[in-house]
Amino acid sequence: MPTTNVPPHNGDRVYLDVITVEVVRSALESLAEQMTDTMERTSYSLLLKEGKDCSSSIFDVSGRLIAEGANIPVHLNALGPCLRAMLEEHIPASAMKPGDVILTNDPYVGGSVGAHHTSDFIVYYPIFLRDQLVGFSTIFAHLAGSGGNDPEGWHTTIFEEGLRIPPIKLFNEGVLDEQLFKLILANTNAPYEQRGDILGQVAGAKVGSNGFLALIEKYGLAVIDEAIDSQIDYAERRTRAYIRQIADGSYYAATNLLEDGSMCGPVKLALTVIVADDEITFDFTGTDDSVAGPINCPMSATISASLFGLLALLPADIPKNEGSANPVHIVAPEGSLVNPRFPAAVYQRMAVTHQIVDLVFEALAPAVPDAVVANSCGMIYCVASAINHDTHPNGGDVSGRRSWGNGTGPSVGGLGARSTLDGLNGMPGWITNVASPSVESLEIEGPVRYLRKELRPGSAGPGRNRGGLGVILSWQALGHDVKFSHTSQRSVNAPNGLFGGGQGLGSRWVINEGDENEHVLANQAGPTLDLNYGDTVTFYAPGGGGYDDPWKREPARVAHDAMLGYIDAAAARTQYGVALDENGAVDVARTNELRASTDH
Amino acid sequence: MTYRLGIDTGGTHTDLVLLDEESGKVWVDKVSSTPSDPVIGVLNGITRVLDTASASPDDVSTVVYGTTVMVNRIIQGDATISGLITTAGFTDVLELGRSHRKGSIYNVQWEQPAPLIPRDLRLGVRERIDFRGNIVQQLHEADVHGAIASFAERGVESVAICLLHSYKNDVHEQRIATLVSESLPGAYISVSSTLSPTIGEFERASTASVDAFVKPRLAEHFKHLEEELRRIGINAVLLTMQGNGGSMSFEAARQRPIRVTNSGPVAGVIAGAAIAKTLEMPAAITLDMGGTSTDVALLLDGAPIEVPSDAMQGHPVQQPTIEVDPIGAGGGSIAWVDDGGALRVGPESAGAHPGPACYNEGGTRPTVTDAALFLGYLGQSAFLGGRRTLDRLSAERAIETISTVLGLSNSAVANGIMALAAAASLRAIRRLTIARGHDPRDMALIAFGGAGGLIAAPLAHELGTPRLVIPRNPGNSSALGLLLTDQRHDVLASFLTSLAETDVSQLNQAFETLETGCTAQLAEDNVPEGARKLSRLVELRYVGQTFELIVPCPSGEVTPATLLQLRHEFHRLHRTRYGHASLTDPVELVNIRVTGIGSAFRPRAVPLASASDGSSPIPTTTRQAFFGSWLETPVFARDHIRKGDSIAGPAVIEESGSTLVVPPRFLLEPAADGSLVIYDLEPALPSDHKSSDNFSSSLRSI
Repeated sequence: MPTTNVPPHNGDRVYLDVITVEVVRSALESLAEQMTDTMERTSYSLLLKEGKDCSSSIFDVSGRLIAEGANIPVHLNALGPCLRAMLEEHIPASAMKPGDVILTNDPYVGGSVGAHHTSDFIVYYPIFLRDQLVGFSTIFAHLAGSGGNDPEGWHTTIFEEGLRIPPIKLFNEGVLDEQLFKLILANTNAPYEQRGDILGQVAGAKVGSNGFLALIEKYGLAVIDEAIDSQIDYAERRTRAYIRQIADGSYYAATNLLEDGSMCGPVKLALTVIVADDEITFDFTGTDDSVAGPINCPMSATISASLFGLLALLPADIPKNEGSANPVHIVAPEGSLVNPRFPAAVYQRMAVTHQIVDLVFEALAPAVPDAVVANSCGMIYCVASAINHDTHPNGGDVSGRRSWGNGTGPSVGGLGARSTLDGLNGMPGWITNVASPSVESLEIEGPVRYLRKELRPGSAGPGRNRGGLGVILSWQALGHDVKFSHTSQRSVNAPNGLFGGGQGLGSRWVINEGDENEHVLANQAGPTLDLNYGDTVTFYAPGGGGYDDPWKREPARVAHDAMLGYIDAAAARTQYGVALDENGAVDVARTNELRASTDH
Repeated sequence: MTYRLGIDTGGTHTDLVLLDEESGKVWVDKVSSTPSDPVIGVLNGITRVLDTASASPDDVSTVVYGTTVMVNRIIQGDATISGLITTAGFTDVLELGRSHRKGSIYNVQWEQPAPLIPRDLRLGVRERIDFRGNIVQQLHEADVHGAIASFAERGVESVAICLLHSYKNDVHEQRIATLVSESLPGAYISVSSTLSPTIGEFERASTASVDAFVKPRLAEHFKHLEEELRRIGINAVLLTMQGNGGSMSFEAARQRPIRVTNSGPVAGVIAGAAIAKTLEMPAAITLDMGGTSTDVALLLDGAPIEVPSDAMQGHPVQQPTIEVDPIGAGGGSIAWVDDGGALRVGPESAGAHPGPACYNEGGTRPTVTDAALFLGYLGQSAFLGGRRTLDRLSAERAIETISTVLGLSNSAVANGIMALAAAASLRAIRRLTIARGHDPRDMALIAFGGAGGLIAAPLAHELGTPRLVIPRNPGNSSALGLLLTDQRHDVLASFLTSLAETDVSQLNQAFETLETGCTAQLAEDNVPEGARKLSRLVELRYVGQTFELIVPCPSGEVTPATLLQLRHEFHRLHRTRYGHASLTDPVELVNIRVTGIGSAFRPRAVPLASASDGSSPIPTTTRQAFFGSWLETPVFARDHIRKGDSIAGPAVIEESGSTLVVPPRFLLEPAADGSLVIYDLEPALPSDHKSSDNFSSSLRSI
């Protein structure tokens, strides 16, 4: 049927620009995903290939984040400050040439806005359109074998945390600096893996550079610039719109880290979130000074954790770029736990970052009750290493080398309950998201045999929505000269519930459980311990906090939890006021009676 | 006369293709699916298509059946009671998984899919094998009997078995399988090391659980369908599609039902590959755009890409699968404005009910179909072969709800909706091509599905793909693809060793064992000896890596020279795929595989009936269509296009079940096989990949 009704064209041009912006944004995001994919698929370290402990991003020439391909939330948002500091203090843009590749793992770049700890390697790949610098392609990855001889050990300064690499050119105009590379690899426990990982990282960053250039070739630099500005504006506009919905005011939450006295604890972490119209400030004034231990949190990680707390509340479809950071201000007193001065040790800064996320949710709970989450499991490490364990059947010479077990990284626990959903069972804390390697791979790579990896019944904080369950992790040490280090910050200070939801169970470590020489570790985090061949370690990971009054939980859901073995019948009765009959079904009359009569 | 019949069961429609083996003539049909019992829809369709062709059921020699919808429904429902037996201490392996929120890192409201087998039906038995395959703790058979007793009490129909390190030593898993078959007669059994002898206990447990979960219902389904087909007089060989792009007998499907998972979109890719071969286009992208979703896939050297694993609704399945990237945008996808003032399309779809606004069945929000109608791409009576009339005024009203908000013209909004619908596909195609170093500018785009022709030309232009192909019967490509699949069986063995130190006699023996097993499966499927073809593959990686690349291995005796050749090929492939290779790093052999093929019947191509006499083709009508501005655009019936015709855009080509838009600066010419080939007259220039070559050579030298 022919159409004669021709609508007016007013506004077409402006509108088509909006479409271009969307298409360019989609292309940039897929580019960042490709970078991460290349890194993951070619990597050698267990933490990268199975843990996916890497993230990619693309910056414009002024250092603004324009797209990310993210696996690990805490990696992000701080690469920009580090990039800007690097340009100012180390390698100015004028000193960069096409084909240069810049590497750093130094937390103390520009104050402390560099890497989060010395195992984090950052590759900056300057993108050149012929001779013009047009942006940076970046990959942030956690590499095995760094952090000194005893990475999880007790350090008081950064000098004990392995080789520090300030921003340096690893490639000059496309040519690898072999001498420098040799120096770096000579200072690691895992030179073979690290070499493969860094080259994979450079390859991934190059994918980003090529893709960005192809986009410029297609659309022209002016269009790309405009599209980038426009999408940053867009993210900013939506972020401001969200902040504006939060009632203006000061929202305060504070906690003591490491209350049991381990690792210099207790240390106070205080946060005031100030909302004023469409701007938000995370103010850490009142936080204790940095400590002579490894839990100090570089400013870069403080920025990442605070921004994550905000991004987690925002609608999920807002593009992740510099725009969301523009309405955000961070006040972190210099010399404090959240902005330490050189040369404070920082290797275990994750204890602080996890707590920052929980504090953001706790503080803002009265203002945005539907968006916040009860406390989660916090930082958990459970790391063993041993010598002479030739576990790499095909891996060349590994004798005499120290090999690491248990993923050498974060472990899992229960996450906090949400307003409409139970907490997630057995997950890494929100800000980590490092995937769990398989037990089968862990046993090949490290000096351990697993005895148990299961959910921890009864560990979830009760609530209308309950917290996620923690796990029980148990393994036996094999190999010789076994070193063991452990951290689980949520033992004394268990994950809190929100709005009447209960606490999750705190964590517990037991050596040789069930044996005559059984002993429970005194501290939730401790310096490296020696273990004997055959010793067992059993870790009870914390459960997440509950949300809202558990007596409001539908009895059928309580019965279902009991059927799955998440709780027993006694807990159904005492924590939820639900009576179950001998078949596990809800005894309605008894339940009504319990819920009416018992004060809870 | 003998016929081959392809049946593809979709969520809303069941598509059928009947092929005359001698003449190559094809009849197509589309009937409503019958969700409560899909067999009814299948039988309805068969009756209709046989009537149209005046064929009798007895004339059908082969039926190839596609079942993904069945599998989806089984997984979504919870009609199966399955149990899982694991090593004691690891019963939560299915629930803990990999503990990773992939792709949703900021979304604290994220939820993971519930495990297929609930916690109270996951039981542990004491036993232990270490990573070298040594037995550390003997199997406690009393634990197995205890588990079986619990399962019996709960009415368990199928049992999955997954023990630690069973990929290295399966003796305990096999023993448990024997005990279950003895003490729980009638139960279906899924053994992880048989299904996928590869490292990673979660993925193996998930594979065994998916298999156990779908087995009872699928076995019943295949049995029921076979009985019904026999009842209506079809005595044909009965085959079903697998996710690996091949087909297998109903009998094999009853034993290994997991192989049918993810097979649905694959048939379309196979159809695309056949066209690419006929038209001699070794590198191509297939785009299958339907009502609610779009599937894109890559063809290299004329063949689809195979990946070693996939996921079934969030549950990993370790088995070779043709790589297809599904996108949640189709003709029914709804356009909306988000709170930041940006136009969005999908993922919400209007579905069949209420459908797009132009259906006049209650839909008020604009869909891609409404935009296409408004822009003059779709005709008001050309949809679904005239069986449905589209109301342009309703489409316009729906689009107005957005143009008012954005302060833009209706045509700008409709144009934007089409562009965004294409953008999602564009992103997926880039992921498959550019991300892996394949330049789409050297490829062809093969588009089909009901809505494929609406976005294909602008999409091809964006990609810089110079040639676009629309096959015959683009609305029924999947059903046609079913008829073109080879019968196929894959077998795999774990062979973890350094490539340089591989014992070739052991390797030769392992390949022979696999080949014997594969031959037996082909023989069970009645593939005649002369039609069987076996090929070998090895999965290689650098020592320390986790992701393997698949490298073909020559047949015949493996010698040290073969190993060297494999090593070189791996370096080459790694460089092609990832941009670098480490020539001095040791290479590791992970798995070896044998693929057995029973070659499918290849239909003869039917040329276009009429040839151009030099006159210009005559449009059936003209209408206003929007290409940056409104142009009077001729509309052609596809049936009327003759060999030798040449049609310059703008033009619209209509046929039953599909519409093709040829924008200005595109030229359409039919190919010898009746496909329509559309050339972009102003394609993007090939890219310059040489700009940073000194960088790559530097990487190679270290």
